[in-house]
Parts: sequence; C-alpha cells; structure tokens
Amino acid sequence: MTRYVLLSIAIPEEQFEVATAVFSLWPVIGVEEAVDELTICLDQKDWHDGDEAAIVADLEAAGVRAHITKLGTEEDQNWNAEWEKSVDPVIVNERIAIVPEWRADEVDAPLKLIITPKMSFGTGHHATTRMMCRLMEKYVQKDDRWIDVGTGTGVLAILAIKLGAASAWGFDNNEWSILNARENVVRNNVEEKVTIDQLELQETTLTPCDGLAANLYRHLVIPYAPAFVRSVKPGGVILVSGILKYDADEVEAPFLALGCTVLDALQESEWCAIAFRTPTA
Amino acid sequence: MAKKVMGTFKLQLKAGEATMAPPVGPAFGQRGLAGMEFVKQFNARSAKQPGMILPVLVTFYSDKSFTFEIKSPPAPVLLIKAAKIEKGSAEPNRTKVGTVKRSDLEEIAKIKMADLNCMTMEAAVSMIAGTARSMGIVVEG
Repeated sequence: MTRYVLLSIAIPEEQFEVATAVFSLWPVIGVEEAVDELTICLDQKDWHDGDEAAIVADLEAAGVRAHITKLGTEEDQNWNAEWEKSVDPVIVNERIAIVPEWRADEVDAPLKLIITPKMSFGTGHHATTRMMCRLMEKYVQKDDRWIDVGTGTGVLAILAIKLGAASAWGFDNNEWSILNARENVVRNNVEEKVTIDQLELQETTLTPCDGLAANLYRHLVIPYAPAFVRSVKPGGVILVSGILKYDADEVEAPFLALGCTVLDALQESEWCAIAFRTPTA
Repeated sequence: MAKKVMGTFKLQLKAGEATMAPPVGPAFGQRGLAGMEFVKQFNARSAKQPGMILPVLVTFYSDKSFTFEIKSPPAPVLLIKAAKIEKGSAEPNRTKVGTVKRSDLEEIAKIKMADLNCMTMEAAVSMIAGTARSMGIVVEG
C-alpha cells in the first residue's frame, strides 16, 4: 500500500496564495488549509531526505514566512469506511437494486447486485452509476462481451453478466478498486465470467467486444473515444457517463465524428449518460 | 427541518485529478462524509482547468451531506503562468524575474474577480499588479 508524507507548515494566512505557487513546483497531491497552517500531502516515493528544508527554503525565497510544525507519514487506508457503514440499499428501478452485503436480505429485486463498498466508486448512490445501470439493462444482449472501463466496485461488469452477457472485463488504475471489485465479483457468484485487472487506460489495449461502459470523466472519455470505437464491434454499443450535462455536446462530438449515432441519453440532476451505436460499416 | 451546517474545511487540489489520497480521504473520512462522491463531482467540475491548483471550500451538514465551492486559482499561480517563469523573486525589489502585460492582469482579474474583495475591475487589476510586483514580476503597459 502507498504511504503518504504529510508536512504541516505554519504560514501567515495572507501568504497562503504565494505558498501555493511554491508548492506547485513540488509533486504535491493536495493541501489542507487550517488557521495559519498548510499541510501538504505527497506520495512517499516522491519524497527525499532533506525535502522539508528545501521546501521551507523555497517558501522563504518567495518571501513567505514559514516554519515546519509537523512531519509525519500516513499509510493508505479505507478513508471511506465510516460512510460505508451507513450505506443504504439503492433501488435503481423495478428490476435492479444495489445493496451492501449486510443488508442484502432487506431487498427483493430480480437483479440484486451485492456491492459492499471499499473506497471505490459505484455503489449506486451517485446518479452516474444509476443511469449506467438503466442503459445497460436496455442494451446488454445475451452472450455479449462487455468491457467496463474504470470499474470501481465492479458494479457494471457484474450487472452485464446478470443481464446475460457471456463475459465482462473490468479494469481500473486504483488498487482499492481492484481489491473491492474482485470481492464483489465473488459475492455475486460471477467470478467465472468476470475478469478484473489493475491497468492504466493509456497503457491498455482494449480487446474486441460487443459493448463498452465507461463511467469516467469528460477529460478521459473525449481522448479515448477512438480507442473505444475501435474496440466495439460494428453496430455495438458504447455507454459513457460521469459527464456533466453542460459537457454533453463536447463529449458526443468525437463519437459522432467517428460515425457513431446517439441511441439514448439520460439525465439526472446535473449529470448525464449517453449511449452510442458504433457504425455498422 | 432544515439540515444544520456542522462546519467547513478548505483543501487545495489539482483540477480533474482528485483521488481519495490525502488530503481528501482523511478530511472526508474523519467527518463520515462520502469522499468518493466528492472526488467524482470535483473532477467533473474542474476538468476544464487541467494542471491548475484550485482551492475548494467544503461545507458539511448534520445529515452527512456536503456542498462545495471551487474557488479561482491563486493569483501567484496565474501570474507565474502568464509570465512563463518557474517562481517569483526572492528579492522582488532588486531582482526581477519576469514581465506581464496589463492585458494579462486584466485576464487574471477576470478569473479572480468573484473571490477578490474588489468593487471594480480596476481595483482588481491594481490588486493583481501589487501581487505581481511582490513576486518580482514587472508589469508592462
């Protein structure tokens, strides 16, 4: 598991902005602000002996009055655990429900997905997951091969099988997701048909498939539209979500340019999900 | 009954690149909030400003829900980008490290206007010019 370095530095609040500019030169993951103190977080593999002194020297060189108040490390853990304890079942529609293992008996649904979260996305509490479930229910065909890009909890790969697909391949770059998705695949007794891999999208060759689901972000979907279209058979289906409704046109554009047609579009609050048909010729 | 505000906290995160790694995970986790939900929303809303560090103010409520407001990037970060330099000067009065045009300041002032305590664009430009000078960046024009 990854370890993180947390460095707390006393800095007058009026100098926070200049300090942030200095931190932008370091591989800082993020910063937490407190009263006259900033805590910067870095991956331990990016940290070297003496870096704390170098950071303070950089701050002082930029005119920031700074001194270190705390330097520590923290091991990666399931930060989401407290929230996960209170997770309620999600009824997606008349057929599909997503429930944590410990509340599985409370819900009766034809397609009950047992998803016990572990710091991974895809519990059904977010609109993007629910919309993808509804689209998959409509477009997954018997004996299909599906790919779930950014699988998170594995929920969409599992649903593909429950809807009759012959196989589903889910991948994600996040270690927690892989651990969690594999657990959920076993909980749903679909391990013989679902493969889960830890992969970076940019380093992955997508295999031929009948349908592809990508609940990602606008800035990931747009550049990978050509790879998605190449992977899906002619006349197949691509489902994308994680898209704000204001960005829908921008996301549709590369798919339309590649000859896809819009089959469906769902919207919930400020989020949307789009279904494309890949060109037949 | 209206939900009660329990508190706020402020983070600085890279646009479109938030994960559950610290500071997000611990900040949300210790308050029992759904950090994954925040990550999804923050990345989607900030995706059009790649590479930019954005302050974000999170307000959380008694029912464990939260809202957040993404603020404009810090002025020094925008000035460094406009001046195409790596960092500000250690001795701004004596050592100048770059230049920006007045039009650059106006662009930055437009981005920062909502977060600055300024009544007019002129006042905002003047404030950004002051920040530039304090970093050893010369304002031309």
